[in-house]
Amino acid sequence: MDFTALCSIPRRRGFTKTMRIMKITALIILLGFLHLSATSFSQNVTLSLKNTSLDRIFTEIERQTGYNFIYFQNQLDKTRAIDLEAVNLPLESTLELVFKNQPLTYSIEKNFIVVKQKPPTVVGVDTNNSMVPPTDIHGRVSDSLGNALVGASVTVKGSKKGTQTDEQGNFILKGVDDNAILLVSFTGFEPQTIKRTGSKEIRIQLRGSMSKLDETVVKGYYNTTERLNTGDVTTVKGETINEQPVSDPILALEGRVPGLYIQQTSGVPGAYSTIMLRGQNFIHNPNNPYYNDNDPLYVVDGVPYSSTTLTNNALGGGVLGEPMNGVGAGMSPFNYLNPADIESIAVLKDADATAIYGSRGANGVILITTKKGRAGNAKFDVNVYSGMGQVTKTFDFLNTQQYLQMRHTAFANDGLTPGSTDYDVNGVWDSTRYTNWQKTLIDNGAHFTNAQATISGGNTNTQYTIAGGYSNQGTLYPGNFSDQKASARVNLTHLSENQRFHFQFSADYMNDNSYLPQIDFTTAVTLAPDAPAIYNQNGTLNWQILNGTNTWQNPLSSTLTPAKAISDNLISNFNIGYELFRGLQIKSNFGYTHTQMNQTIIIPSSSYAPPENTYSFLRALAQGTTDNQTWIIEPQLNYQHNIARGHLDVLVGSTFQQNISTSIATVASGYVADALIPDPLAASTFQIVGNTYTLYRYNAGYGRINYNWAEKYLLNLTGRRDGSSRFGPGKQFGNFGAIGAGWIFSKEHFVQDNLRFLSFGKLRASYGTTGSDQITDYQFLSTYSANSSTYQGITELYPTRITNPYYAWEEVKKLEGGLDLGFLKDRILINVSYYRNRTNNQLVGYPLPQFTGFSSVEANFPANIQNTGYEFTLNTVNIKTHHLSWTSSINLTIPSNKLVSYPDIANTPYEYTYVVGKSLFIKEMYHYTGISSQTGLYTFETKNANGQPSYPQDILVTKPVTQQYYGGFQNSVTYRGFKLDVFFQFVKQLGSNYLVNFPAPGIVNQDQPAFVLKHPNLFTTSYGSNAGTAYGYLQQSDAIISDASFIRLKNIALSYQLPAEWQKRMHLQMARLYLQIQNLLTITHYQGLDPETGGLNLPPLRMITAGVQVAL
Amino acid sequence: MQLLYKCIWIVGLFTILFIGCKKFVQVGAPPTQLVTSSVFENSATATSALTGIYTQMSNNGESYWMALNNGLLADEFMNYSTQQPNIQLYTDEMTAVVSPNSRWDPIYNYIYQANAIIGGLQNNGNIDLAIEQQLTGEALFIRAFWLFYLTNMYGAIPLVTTTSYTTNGTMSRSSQTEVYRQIITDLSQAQNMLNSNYVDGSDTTITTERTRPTRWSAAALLSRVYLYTQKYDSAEIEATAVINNTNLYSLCQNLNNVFLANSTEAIWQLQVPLPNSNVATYDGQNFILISAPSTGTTGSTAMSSEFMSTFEAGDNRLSNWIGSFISAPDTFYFPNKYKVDNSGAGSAPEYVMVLRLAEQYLIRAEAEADLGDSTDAITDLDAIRSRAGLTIPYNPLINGPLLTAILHERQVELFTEWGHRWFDLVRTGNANAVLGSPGNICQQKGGAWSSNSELYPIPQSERTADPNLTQNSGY
Repeated sequence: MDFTALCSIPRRRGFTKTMRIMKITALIILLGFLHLSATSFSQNVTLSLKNTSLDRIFTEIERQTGYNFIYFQNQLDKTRAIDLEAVNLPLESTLELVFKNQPLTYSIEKNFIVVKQKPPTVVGVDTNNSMVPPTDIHGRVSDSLGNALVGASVTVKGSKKGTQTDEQGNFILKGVDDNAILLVSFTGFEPQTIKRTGSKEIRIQLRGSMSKLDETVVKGYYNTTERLNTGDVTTVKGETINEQPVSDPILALEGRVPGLYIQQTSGVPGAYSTIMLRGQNFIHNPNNPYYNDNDPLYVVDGVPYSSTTLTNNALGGGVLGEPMNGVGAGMSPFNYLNPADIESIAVLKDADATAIYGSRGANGVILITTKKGRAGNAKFDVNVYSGMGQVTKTFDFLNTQQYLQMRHTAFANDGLTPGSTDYDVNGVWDSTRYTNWQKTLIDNGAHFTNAQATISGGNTNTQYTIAGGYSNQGTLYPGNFSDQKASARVNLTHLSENQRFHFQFSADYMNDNSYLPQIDFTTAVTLAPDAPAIYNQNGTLNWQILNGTNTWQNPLSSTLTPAKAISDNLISNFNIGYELFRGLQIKSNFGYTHTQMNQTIIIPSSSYAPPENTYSFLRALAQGTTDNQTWIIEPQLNYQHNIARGHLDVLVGSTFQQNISTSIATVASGYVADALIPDPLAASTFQIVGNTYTLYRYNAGYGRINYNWAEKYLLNLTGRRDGSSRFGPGKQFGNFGAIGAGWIFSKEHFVQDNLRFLSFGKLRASYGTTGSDQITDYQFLSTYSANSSTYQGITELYPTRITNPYYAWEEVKKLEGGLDLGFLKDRILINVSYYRNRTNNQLVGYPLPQFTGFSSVEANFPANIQNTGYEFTLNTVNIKTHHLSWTSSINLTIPSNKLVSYPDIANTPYEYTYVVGKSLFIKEMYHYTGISSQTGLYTFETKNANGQPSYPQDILVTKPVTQQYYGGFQNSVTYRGFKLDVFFQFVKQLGSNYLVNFPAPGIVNQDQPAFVLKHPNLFTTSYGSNAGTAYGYLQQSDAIISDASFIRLKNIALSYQLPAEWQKRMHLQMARLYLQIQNLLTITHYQGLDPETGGLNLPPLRMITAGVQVAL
Repeated sequence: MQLLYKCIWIVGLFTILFIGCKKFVQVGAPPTQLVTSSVFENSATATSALTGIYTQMSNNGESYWMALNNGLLADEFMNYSTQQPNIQLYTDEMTAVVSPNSRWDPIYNYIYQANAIIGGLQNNGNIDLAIEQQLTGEALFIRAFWLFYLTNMYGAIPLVTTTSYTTNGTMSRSSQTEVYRQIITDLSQAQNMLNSNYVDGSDTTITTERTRPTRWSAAALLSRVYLYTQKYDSAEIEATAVINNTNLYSLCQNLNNVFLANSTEAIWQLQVPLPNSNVATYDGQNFILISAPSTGTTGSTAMSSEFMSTFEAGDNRLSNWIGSFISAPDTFYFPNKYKVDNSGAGSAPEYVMVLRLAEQYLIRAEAEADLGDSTDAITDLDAIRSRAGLTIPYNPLINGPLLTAILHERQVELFTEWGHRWFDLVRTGNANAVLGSPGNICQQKGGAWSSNSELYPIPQSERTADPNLTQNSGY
């Protein structure tokens, strides 16, 4: 690759050409191979301007000379408008005029005019500058806001003299020559060179670095930078999240974090996503309803956030699923986090980053940080967008004529005639009707409105933010369903005048009102195309009654039983710290979260078909409350000290955490009228159908020692001793730790001298252990529970759990190696990581045969699971000029999962589920060999001659139903006020196709995909027929597994910030218009609705929104 | 100095927080759960644990599922369900994939609970001996009851008599002979432990509610077990013991009273637990048709025409125990032994009948016939026939050979109760003749008969979980 091409800068005249090329050969541009040539411009300037801003003048000079200005918009804040007269004046002279009396200066580098602050203010100039003997220098180093930079290095050029700044940013250099040159550097800031010119006191302001390597990396208990990080952390900024019109912030991470695979399970607002960070570490127990064991740990502003749904187990979440029934169903708790409030989401992956979370970090850690106030005048920011969601993909179904042909052929094939209940073909239903059920049920347009308002400001010591938000997301379903949210947030940050005491308080609150149906209407799109009309002429539901009973299940009956769920979520956090003496800080984090959901389901008799719709006892009111409270206290001591040329950072702390979850569900039934249902007092029967309580406690001590030698050699040791109430007596505590090391070899002289193109190079490695207590509480107790049913007046007690008291911590050993490279002044950054996680001592519900009385028992498992993978990230700055910038980012993950060992697997329940040496995601199946040309039936590879496969000897294929690789590709272009972000997500994977969800063609009155018409021999009405039997085998064969790869144009965000002058004229600090599109396009060969959600589930929505943001 | 003090204070306060204590992470049982060992420290909780099994059996609708599944396999029902499990049962073409109709899991759960009670009360010093005896006797009875149904459905089965999953989890199947040996041991022991009278929730006070097993319930089940195992002497003895207890038991002369709560014919009934939004028994709710049969799993059956044609003229059971729903031009007949349907209509409280006196007469008749005592056999047979309004005594010319007549009487007396018909067909070897050729009802039902279908398949998931389990032939 020609890297120089990437940094060649288009001159002004070439620019329109560039735009055209961009349009024409988008692909080439995307790949960043574009080479642009430079042409020559005039060096003289002619101008006549009155009272004109520098911004305007720069533009004019750029236009005439082809030089580009490089500056930050805020640099111009304190500049004055000027009058300028120039006739054919040389550029240099013109610039002298422009920068005269401004707080800025400039330098010309190649074709750039770099605008800078005037050199550091030098105060207290010593008049006795004629003294020859060396003297001491006192100085202070600060950032552009005046905050002290602690530990900045100050050295005297050409000598070994050097020091570092103290806690106030002060330094003293003894015995320095009058005209010495000082080199000042600090991580994250551009280094500065200052000539002493005799002064004894020097104040130095450093400018923040623009390099991505100097962005802060949040690691939970401490922060570092990309440059100095010894671990593996990917950060997604709030900016990226806010560009996506989603109501669940987790969905905004899809495809953006290497190693993190997120699978949306449904397009219904509030639906759960399956989240897996670096693969599956633990064996699932299909009998165990709790699937959280592979969830990462979520921490919101320092407080652990439960990934368990609040949807009541006893009631279920209607369309969102039953929590007990499968992978994380119910409403996602992340639906209660406002994406607009998020500053960043950091994904911690390797042992170095996660070991400090000890027992909870086995599956990685996801840290969500909310926005904090910034110093400055009070700013009022309003952001409103609105749009529409559509279904992304539909099936091509048989129409009525084709459908009837299929059904009649099916009867003919079986030698049968339609029976009295085959209403679709026996004349009871009007066979001339045609309904496009997809259009009727899942394509009704989902409105989405989102409004956010923020007030923020403060001074250098105290900053505040107050924000409020509202959003309303509709569904694609017929009927009045929606998910409405209102949120509020307060944040206060304070640092005392002497900089020793600080505190920060934040509180986030959200109220979510979800009104969703009891079923996903997508499951009803296979209704026969000649099924009856939904409504009668009088507007009531049509049941197409025959002899007093319904002949079909009207799908819209579900619109009469909405599941209302009202959730409240409070996350509060208080952080306080005090510097006891130089380098030693004591601090503590206090957090409290309270999440609650109240569910109400009203079941009127009108939602039943006749004759049930007259039964009073079927009228019911189901109510449920789930409550989750967590508090955490984390006192910490932090000590920082410079030793020799290195910096030592020591952290010790402890954690006390408690979580109480309770839930109760009641059902009132037996109402005399539908109108009375909301009042349980009007019911004849009242029953408590569920009541749970769990107490979880967690206690730990942890520590971290970090040593950084001259920003060249990095060592990071972390460890934790943990106790969790989820383990039985004597098994509660476990120790976890990790070592991480980094070598920034680009700082070595031999690299600097020989590999000049390399601006940054770091090798890092880490190894350590993390544990998991992601099991349900009280598993070490064998218990009975009560039920309100009485027999002979005695309430029922039934056994709820059998136990194995000996189970203990499970552990993941994580190994990682990484290489980070920066080229061309970090305009190209490459990151390559390899990881290997091995899990032994698996702690899962061990499946038991049901004849033991229970389906599973908690036990440690001798299986050893390995997850390995390569992760690549490439960030490039393709173009960076004053007006135009173009950056690209690609990430790719190649994961691999393997069951390394399992002693004696043949004598375990997993004999036919897993294979040693293969992935946990394999499916073992019969092998489908196509349709026989003689019989027209499906054929399979079998060991016997009869062609009928049998279990288990004909299980001949194993296919890994998982991702082979996945990633994302982002391009961001900004041009003047315009900003365009385009993001593609790509996944290569195998998945279950439509065959899983469809019965044999013709067997029931259900529609089928249009392509079934090709094989009329396969139509049947009986499971016992040859075709019916073969279909049964087909569904257990590899025919149901097919390619489910896709490339999705996940996000397009286009925004336009109004020119500064317009904004000024409108008296606005900022005004921005934008267009955001989610899931615009999906390219896939998948046989089914959507390769991500699979099956007959509502696919992710295509959301098109437009909005405006203004700041007053 | 002031600063120093401040620092000492702050550090001191934080040090207190730093000291983690083991006690912090030790939590007791939640208030919503009771630790198993404590359940058996108290007679009230132990009784709750025992009667909880009856609650579950009633709430889970075991009598309905046994009647439905086995009735579909036999010749009792016409099936309207389009659900796979129902179709497979109806066509006698079951598969080893676990169907939602399968009773394997709940039955073994009841057996687990019975074992937990037997184990938990053993050498237990906390509970009054009389109560301990009654509860243990009932648990032994429950275990025997369900082992009986399991072995008749599945043949050889895992014989689980403890709660230890470590020893039980890898168990092999025990032969039907071994299972019967265990059943007889359990029932004999239960007979010695159980009260002679019905008891209430106190486990000792006598009540009129026939909802807990007594020693007569054990005798009644034992007589059936002896009949099935061809120990006719013993069958006759046990049945006689029950029939002779005329203080408690007599045949209801009004057929419509047989299935009422605490009918004089009831040897053991199950309550419909309270509170219950559905006032009816599971059988009443799902068998009684108030609309045309559905295509779902339940409410999707009507009586088969073969069955309807077996009634003799004048048999009051046809008019009293069979109902009809007319959906012109079709008429659907349904079992109407229970009268309270799913709309809650009907007033007299009904309990789920598990063991009743009429069966004891028929057991004794069959045992006597097998022992060659046809006089007594005919007396017993006629007792049942006359109660049904068939006043003409048994006549071999009309009713066929005595054993055939007794089996036919069982068919029309015990229809759609707990699968009697199916078990009779299988145990007497008549299944082949009725369902296969020459009767070939199986073919009429849309299936192809194989005698392998006489046993249910062992659920495949169980074989996956315990590789030591073998499969019945044909699956």
